[in-house]
Amino acid sequence: MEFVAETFQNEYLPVGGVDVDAVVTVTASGSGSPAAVSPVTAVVVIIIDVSGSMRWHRRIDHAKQAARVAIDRLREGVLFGIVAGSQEGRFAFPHSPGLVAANGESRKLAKAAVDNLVADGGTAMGRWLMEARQRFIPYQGAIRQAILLTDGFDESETRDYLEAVVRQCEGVFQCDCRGVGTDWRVDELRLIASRLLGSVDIVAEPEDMPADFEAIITRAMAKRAADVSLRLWTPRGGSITFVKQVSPTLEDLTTHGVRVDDRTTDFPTGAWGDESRDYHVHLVVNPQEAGAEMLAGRISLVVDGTAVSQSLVRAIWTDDVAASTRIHPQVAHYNGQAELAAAIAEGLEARAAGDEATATAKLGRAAHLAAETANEGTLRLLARVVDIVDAGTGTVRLRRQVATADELALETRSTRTVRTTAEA
Amino acid sequence: MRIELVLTCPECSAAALADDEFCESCGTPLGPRRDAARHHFERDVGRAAAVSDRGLVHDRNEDAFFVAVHGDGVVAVVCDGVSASAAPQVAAAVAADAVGRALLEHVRANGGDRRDAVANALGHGDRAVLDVPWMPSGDRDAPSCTIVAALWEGSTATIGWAGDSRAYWVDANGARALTLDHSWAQEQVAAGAMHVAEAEADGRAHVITRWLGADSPPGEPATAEYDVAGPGRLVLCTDGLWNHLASPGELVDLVAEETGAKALDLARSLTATALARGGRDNVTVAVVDSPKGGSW
Repeated sequence: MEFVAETFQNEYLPVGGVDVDAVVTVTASGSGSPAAVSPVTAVVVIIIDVSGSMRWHRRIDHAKQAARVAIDRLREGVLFGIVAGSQEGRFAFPHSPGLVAANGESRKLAKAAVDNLVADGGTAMGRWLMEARQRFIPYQGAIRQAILLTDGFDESETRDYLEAVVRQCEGVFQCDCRGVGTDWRVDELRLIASRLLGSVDIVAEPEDMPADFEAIITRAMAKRAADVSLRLWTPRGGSITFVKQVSPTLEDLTTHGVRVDDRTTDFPTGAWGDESRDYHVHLVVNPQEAGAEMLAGRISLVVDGTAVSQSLVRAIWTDDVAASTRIHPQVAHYNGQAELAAAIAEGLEARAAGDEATATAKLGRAAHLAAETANEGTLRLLARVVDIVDAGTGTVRLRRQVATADELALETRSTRTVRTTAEA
Repeated sequence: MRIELVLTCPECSAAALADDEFCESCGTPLGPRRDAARHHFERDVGRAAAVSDRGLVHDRNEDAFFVAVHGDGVVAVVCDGVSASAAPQVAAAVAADAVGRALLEHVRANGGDRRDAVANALGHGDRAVLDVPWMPSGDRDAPSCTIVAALWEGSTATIGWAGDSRAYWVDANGARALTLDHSWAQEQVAAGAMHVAEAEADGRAHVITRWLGADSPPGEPATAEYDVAGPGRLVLCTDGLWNHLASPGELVDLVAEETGAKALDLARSLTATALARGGRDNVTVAVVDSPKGGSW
């Protein structure tokens, strides 16, 4: 696979200025080329919530159907297993230690094991993840993907335990999280997905589960590079304020950094197929005189241990105020997307706390930003929570009756961004 | 001109490598310190002169030369850094300097086999390029460059080369190539596999097969000796010149236009021609005149 990093920034700083913003677009391609097709091993663990509540609305039946579809979608030879999750985690398949390669026989056995699942018991996601972790460990270097499906909150263990487990699983495997129904907590699934480089989404209707699982497996099967990190070098006296993925979703990676040496930090980004992602980095450098130039940062990709494609972040000090005050359109765009997500989070929080004035103001601001940046997806989700009177002025009215599923959908999907069409 | 190697950051004194564009410690730009003074440079030593120019397309000049006169001996060297390699401009500069100095030493010592002297000098150049400190990375080769070197003593010109930089002898009888490119096209033609036109039209035509620096195919350096008793002019050049010429015959016309001109003026004129025709590459020309004069 080929990775290309490209930096978008206004490199001009005012005299005495120290702040450097840049958006880096990373594009991976060539997974279909003969050289890249040498099958990189993939390992998939499907974690199905079998707590008692899964009996409601026949969720367990749809979850079983989703698992069957996922098993069918696995590429021949992919190693897999199924975890049944209640107040403990238990491998429903295979019963023997380790994982099993997908073939006609193993798919049949796995589906039979899925059919025999019984919904009964509590919810302890940390224990489910811990169980999965044991079997991922031997396969470092392969594509390692888990899917966690739950309908409830993490009632059978402490938050501290869940956080500790997630830290231990970091780097061992990736995990996409799905909440079915409306009794699960966004913050719990986001904690898992965020540290384990996966996505969070709501599956409001149980019957949508199979299609969703199919999409997750298809995406995982398209990955070709297992472990890719964004490597960021900064000069002496410089520092990293933040590193965020800003497209396709917002994800703050700042605290995920792994120190390489005094100047260099790696930010894991997980597995890649043919795709493109944007990152927003903010650096602080030592101020210089007008006319001085400095390399403020260098971004490269570390693909399975080897650094490839680098892109430079520059700083040039100038007394030309027009040059130094310009904000690069890409940077401005993603500042807007970040503000949009924050306005939604704050608006929903205020609404839940009964602070209608703040909720109306924040969600109005969100509607304005979503419309301004043509983020149609977010605008549609907003419209199910508030009446948008005038998106241009950010005028909205809170709805009296809002489906919990719509609110959850807005909360989970508010981090999805759109790309700017503005010229660089 | 000797290149400023910048192996120490002028701002923070941290160690730097020859291919560092910025200080790895404090971010200070180092590339311009190495390259800014080399966009165009000339040297005139009377019977010999050289001109180097970055051309109209490239950001920096990765060619280099060395010319010197001692008594009736003349040394001229032209190098072209390989663009796909790390620090090509440094490779070219240190190679030209090392080979030129070794040949000048031979002239001063006044004796010994000339072809051995040229071969030994190319060995010095190879080691100088191997010693260029650089950071190995996946997408670039080790520092490397082409070379053509001439040692002229009495009525004998001894030429040594690696790659596709060339030497021509131009006199009343026309222009004569003194080197045979180490290139894919030339090897196809030499092996009888292709006609010249066919080989030159191939995308691989200009891929060089010998160079100075790491991984150059092993073998004795290419050297040749020529009798240059009569009046005439020796022209050494990088592909930045000869790629803009249709044939060696054209070189005769261009040299004839400068009949009576000094070596420096001819070198300038040939460089200007390459620029006028697009200057697609760095261009470097060294001219050495016969002691009997460059005109006939």
